[in-house]
Amino acid sequence: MTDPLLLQGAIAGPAVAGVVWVVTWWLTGSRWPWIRRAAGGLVAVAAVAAAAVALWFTYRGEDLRWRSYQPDLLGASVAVVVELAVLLAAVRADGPERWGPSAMAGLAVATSAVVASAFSRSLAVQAVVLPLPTLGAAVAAVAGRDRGDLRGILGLAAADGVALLGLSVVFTRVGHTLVGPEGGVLGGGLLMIAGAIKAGAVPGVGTWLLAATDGPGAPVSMALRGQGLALALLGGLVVVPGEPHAVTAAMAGGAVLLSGAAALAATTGRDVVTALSGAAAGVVFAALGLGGAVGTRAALVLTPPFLLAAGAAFTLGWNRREEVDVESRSGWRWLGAAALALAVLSLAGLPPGGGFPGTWLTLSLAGARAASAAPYYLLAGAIALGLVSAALGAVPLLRASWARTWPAILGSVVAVALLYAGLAPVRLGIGWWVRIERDLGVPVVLAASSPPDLPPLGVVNLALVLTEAVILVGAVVALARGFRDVRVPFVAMTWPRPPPGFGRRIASAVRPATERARRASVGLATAVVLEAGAIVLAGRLVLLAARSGFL
Amino acid sequence: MAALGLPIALVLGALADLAGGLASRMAGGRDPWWRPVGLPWDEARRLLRSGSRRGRPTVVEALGGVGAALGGGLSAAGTLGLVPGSAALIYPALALGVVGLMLADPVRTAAGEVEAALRRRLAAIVEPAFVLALGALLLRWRSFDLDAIRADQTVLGPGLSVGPAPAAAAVILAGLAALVATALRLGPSLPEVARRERQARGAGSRLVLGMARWSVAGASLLVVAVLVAGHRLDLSLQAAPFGAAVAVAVLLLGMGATFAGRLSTRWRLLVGGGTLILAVAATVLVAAS
Repeated sequence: MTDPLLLQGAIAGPAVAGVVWVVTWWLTGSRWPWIRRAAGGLVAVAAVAAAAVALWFTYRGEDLRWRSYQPDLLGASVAVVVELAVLLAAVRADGPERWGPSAMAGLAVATSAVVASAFSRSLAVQAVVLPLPTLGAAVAAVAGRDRGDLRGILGLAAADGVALLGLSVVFTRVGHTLVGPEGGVLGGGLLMIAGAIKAGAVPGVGTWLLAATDGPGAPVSMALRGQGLALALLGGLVVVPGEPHAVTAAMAGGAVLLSGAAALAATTGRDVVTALSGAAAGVVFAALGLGGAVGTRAALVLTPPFLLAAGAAFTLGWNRREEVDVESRSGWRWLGAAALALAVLSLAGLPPGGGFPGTWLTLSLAGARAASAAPYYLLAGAIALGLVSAALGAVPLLRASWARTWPAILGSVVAVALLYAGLAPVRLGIGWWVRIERDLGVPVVLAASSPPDLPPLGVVNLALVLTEAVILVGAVVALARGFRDVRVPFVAMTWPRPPPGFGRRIASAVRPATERARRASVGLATAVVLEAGAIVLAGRLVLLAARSGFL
Repeated sequence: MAALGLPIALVLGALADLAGGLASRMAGGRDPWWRPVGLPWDEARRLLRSGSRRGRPTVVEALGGVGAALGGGLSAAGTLGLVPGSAALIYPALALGVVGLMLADPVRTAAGEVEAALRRRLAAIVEPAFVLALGALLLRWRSFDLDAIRADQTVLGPGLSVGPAPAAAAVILAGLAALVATALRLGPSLPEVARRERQARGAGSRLVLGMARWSVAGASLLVVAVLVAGHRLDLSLQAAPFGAAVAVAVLLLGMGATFAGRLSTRWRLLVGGGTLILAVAATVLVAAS
């Protein structure tokens, strides 16, 4: 009796929270915003609690089951982290009247779909829920009429098509309706490509574009990032467990480097958050591409901190145009700046952020592989340089930090969790990742071969140096008897404009054509056609599954 | 033992600044040569006496100071073997130091922020040069593990003396490129900062910036010295090459940072480009040898 309720609560909870929020918004209008926030927030927290209890049961080894939903430890963990990250993004989705309800509705539906997909290994369920986040984002984008949002939908629709193609390949190979390890490299690869676009790891495509706008599509990007990582883990760990893919690793390294360059060239806080999150997502794919037991562990260790840090960075760093000059209390701004700094460090894989242990493992693995194949040095260099460039690009965002009350409070709670994950990754997760690795059947590495292993350095060592640093700066603050309160705007690195030349001439020649295409809504029409194709593929897969006994 | 990393980095950073002060004095500067180390003491006393709000650091500067000190401390501890060290720890720690240094750059008016943004741009441009130079020094030993590299040098001798001449030349080039890149990333020295903007910046901000600078400078030169000459933390004769490498790195970094601070933006960009070429040449030489 408990199982169905728990799973139903975790899956439908986000959608119900969205409905509650929209209904209360419709009933109360903009007069009493706290009513809709409290009502929607309570239901959302209940959904997270249900997902967390489901995770606890699966951790204890109990077999939860409701119809085709039977979460394993990996799926249950992804569900909880995605719901938490979306909760952070939802704080910012409660935006202007023009698009607030559509953004919240899109976010809620997308989150429920991601949790449903994480809880099930059934190909039919995967196929049915796969297009829902894109449709949720499309509803929000159409309501906001933001060009960037609409451009992002095109990539997402293509990703849906690629993912369904991947699922079809997996179905053809395994011959039954469950996603299993016999799915083949092609199926797993297609799922990972779709996952990369949805996780925002591919610069300028799909979720990347959606997240960089200040329209209603941006909050929905958080659910899409969760879906992207769920797809990547499905493709990289379940379909082809622990198998190295040099091409995936190389493409991920290139994407991280490009993301770092994009962060340096960013002109708004939104661009920085997008590029930094993109770079961090790329590291997960690099870890999956490096493969083996160590690569699998790196991907597992990276995923939860990535989603939480991306959520915190979004809630604290993303802003709309009209929010640039918003005033906030200095105390919340200070708290928000500290939380944002930890989120940035986590995303950039720098100590003591939560992303550091996983990034350390990924870089160490690339270094170990480089001993036999020198090009892996290039991969390690590209990842390191991309992440550091992204962190440098985030400096103006941190200097112009302006958090308000709720984002600052929620962001600091997440920041404390990220700090703990960065300081004591083994204490936090050893039972968790060892069990997932055993379930997935990834190759075992003998300790005698001295593989890179966690922790990067002991918790005591890291805490000791951190304490020293805090005492040193704390002494200056104590001498000065407090902090000074200054607020500065976001100042980009002012890259020089290219002189009028060949590139500019091409751009001006192409512009009329792109304007005509925009007016004729060519992009939107293409997205609709692609998404329709994906839905047809999903229907076909469900029919095939039904014939082989799914129903 | 990990706690020793930060003090060592700070001391080496201060020594590099002293070397810079000496170079500045010899080049006709008016400040006494010990001014880079004396200034923080003056700032601390000023801070204690005045108690005005303007002297206080901002939260972002303090966060930057903590980041720089943590990065420098971790990197120095990893480089000296006080904690298990590998390039996957050293480089992120150094990068944290640089990000912290950028944050510790005192927050000012919008116009001042544009100037800070230009400095960040330079740091971003020289970052690839630093990564390539560090990569060349690691590639020389075909290892990411600093413990293994130190062990190799303990058995075979300092990195410079092992292997063919082109490899030794590559190590020298890479070390030089890494030091020049570090000098460019550090930005202007503390006396320079105090002279330019005494009115705009508080003593607390300058103190935080000074500590961040020393921490990053000390940790960076330590990495270069260990990768070039190995290291032993004792007073035996075999520790002499490491001591000499540290001394040379201190001198070069101090002088480089002083002169880089005097260059115009355009010249700094040019030097950054030159450093990148130097680092590429070192990498090619190492790969070929």
